[in-house]
Amino acid sequence: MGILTRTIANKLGQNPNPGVNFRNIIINGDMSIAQRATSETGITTDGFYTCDRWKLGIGSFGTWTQSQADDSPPNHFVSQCIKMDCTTAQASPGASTSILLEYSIEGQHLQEICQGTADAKQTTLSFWHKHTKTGINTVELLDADNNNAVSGSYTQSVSNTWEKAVITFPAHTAGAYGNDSNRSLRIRFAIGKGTDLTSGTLATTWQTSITNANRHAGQVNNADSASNNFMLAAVQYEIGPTASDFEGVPQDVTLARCFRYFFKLQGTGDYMNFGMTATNGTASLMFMTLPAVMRNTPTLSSSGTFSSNVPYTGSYENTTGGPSIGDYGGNLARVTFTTNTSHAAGLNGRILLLAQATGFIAFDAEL
Amino acid sequence: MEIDINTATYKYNENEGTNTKYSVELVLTDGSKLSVPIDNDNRHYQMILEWDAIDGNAITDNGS
Repeated sequence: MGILTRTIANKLGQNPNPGVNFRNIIINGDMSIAQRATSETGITTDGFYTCDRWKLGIGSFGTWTQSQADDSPPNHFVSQCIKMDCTTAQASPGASTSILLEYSIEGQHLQEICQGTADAKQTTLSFWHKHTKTGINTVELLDADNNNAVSGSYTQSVSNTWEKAVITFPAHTAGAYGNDSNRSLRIRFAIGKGTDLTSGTLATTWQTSITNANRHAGQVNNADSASNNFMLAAVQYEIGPTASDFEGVPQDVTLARCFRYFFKLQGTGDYMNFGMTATNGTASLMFMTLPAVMRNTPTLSSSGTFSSNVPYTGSYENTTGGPSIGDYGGNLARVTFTTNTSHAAGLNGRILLLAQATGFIAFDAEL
Repeated sequence: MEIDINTATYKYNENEGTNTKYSVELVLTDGSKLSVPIDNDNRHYQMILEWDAIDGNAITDNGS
């Protein structure tokens, strides 16, 4: 496939192996997609909260609000950022505690780096940052397949001002990334770290035996005041020793790529038909075609009251418990709802979410 | 940990004749519920196995 053809296929979302042919290996580096929520308050534990693909790791490091914020560096084809707003400070973090924003990548999307071979290539991470706290911050590449790591640093020079960072990481001829759909690389933007992780000398060459003290040496504590914000935008990770301009990708293409990892059907506040069902006793089976082949069999989460209407012209019956994921293959999923009433096998009907804007069904195959 | 598990219960496949465990139904401490496939590549299932390995925790198996 030629470059032009590949590019067109990428733009159409038809590339079965996306990450490889985009210049930017990161999906949703422009923070334009936030299927879960655009803002989440009171965060004290790990999780995916707002911008797709971006995970917060946190342990005993204050309380935060995370949002997809309409704030961005000027003239860079992006209009949003991921924003961490400290609402309860942790000025004296425990020695082993940590808070970070993390982006994980499948091994099959990293093969062109040729890591673990004599042809291994340098890679470059570029992004814009706007932090309240001035000083040094660190970013770590953690090779999840081989437990190797390398770190880099950047400086917030002027408080609450967009500044650009470029970090080039050395090639690594040891430890190949698995050519599969599992997590191989974790890009970890430190927000705050305890002294166990900061007291050494920053490891700017690949470490095959990781010394914790060298992983985030020099890192400032962005959690030391409830007035602090920590923002990232236009994050790009690419092969080679230099940073190219941020790769603009249409939002619909980014959304299509995010569906591989997460898909959410959100209630509208009106009655919402989720699908047709067939009955089998108290099981009401719904067969869903998802918008993408997900990375692996997804976890199903839900909220709200789902009603089974079997047969279609019959009475409504609220389901009990949460729906469960059944067989999954390709982009086809079977979702089972449970009813109190036992029905004859093979009756057809529908599952609908009652008028609840906060109700949803979500499929999660994140790394 | 990303999820704080209160209870975990095996769910069986509804297909006639198969009678196999297919997913784990989680109730989290905040009351929310997840249906997690029995798949070693699923990060939630990995968390369930870690939780199950702790003394005092166990995945409930009510049979098919």
